[in-house]
Amino acid sequence: MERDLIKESKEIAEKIIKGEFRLTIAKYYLLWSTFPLVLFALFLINTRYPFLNYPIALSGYLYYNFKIFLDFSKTVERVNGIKRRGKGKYSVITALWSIPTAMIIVGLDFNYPYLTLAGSIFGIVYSLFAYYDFTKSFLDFHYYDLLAVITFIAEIISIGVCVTLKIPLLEIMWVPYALSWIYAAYASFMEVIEGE
Amino acid sequence: MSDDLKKLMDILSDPSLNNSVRLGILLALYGLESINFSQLLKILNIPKSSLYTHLQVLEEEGYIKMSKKFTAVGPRTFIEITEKGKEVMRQYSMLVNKMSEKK
Repeated sequence: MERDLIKESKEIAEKIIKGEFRLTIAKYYLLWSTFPLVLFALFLINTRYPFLNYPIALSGYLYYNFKIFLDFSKTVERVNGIKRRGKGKYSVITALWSIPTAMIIVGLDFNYPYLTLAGSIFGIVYSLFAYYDFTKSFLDFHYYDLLAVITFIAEIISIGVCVTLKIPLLEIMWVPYALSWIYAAYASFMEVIEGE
Repeated sequence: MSDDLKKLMDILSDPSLNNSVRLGILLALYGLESINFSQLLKILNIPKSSLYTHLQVLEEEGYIKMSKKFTAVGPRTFIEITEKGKEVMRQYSMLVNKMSEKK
């Protein structure tokens, strides 16, 4: 009987923690949905040293990204009562997307089309890997998660196409990505939060 | 009966912890520190009245405390784990892990 009680209570605790993980993902979507806008604003403000804009924006975003996922890892660690290996796994996976984006931006700014192309390929491979890893984790994957992955991949592909074919639509390509990530954040919040 | 098992049975014989929902909530709170009522209600998907009863039992035993706070989306009831709650969950987690390692 005690064994059932221990097992059932652990399942309930995990269900609650799973809800907390969805909240963490909601914060993640919301955080990165604003990134293109903040970067765009920085490029408007700081025209003297434009190469500094990406590292400045990225350092703040990465700090918060690591913080929200490490806080979550500590929670899981306390509930399980043991130190887990790969504690910062989600912090790293979720922050990795900044590398292909950096390659694309640097490639565009300094006219290195091959760097942009390499960044695009890396970004697509990374998105598929992240998608596969998250579906295997204890996160229930919903249509808005898929939408977020698809728009991220589409944004990378569209940048590649715009650069190759010299189509002047580069800035607009961020819009579907930002909107879908805002929507994914909203839907994720709604999944665990409602009015009292 | 080993000492660890006896200690674990002592914890589980507490009427307020001898229920999987209450024990699960307290275990989750041990990790989270605090959670709001509506979030818990939506995640657990149990009737509001029974969740409230479970929380009242835990509060009466001093394992948690409930308080109303004003947030950007209106007033919300927050549930926080107390020091007594943390201590009992620290012991509980340690004993359960020890016993699962022995298996």
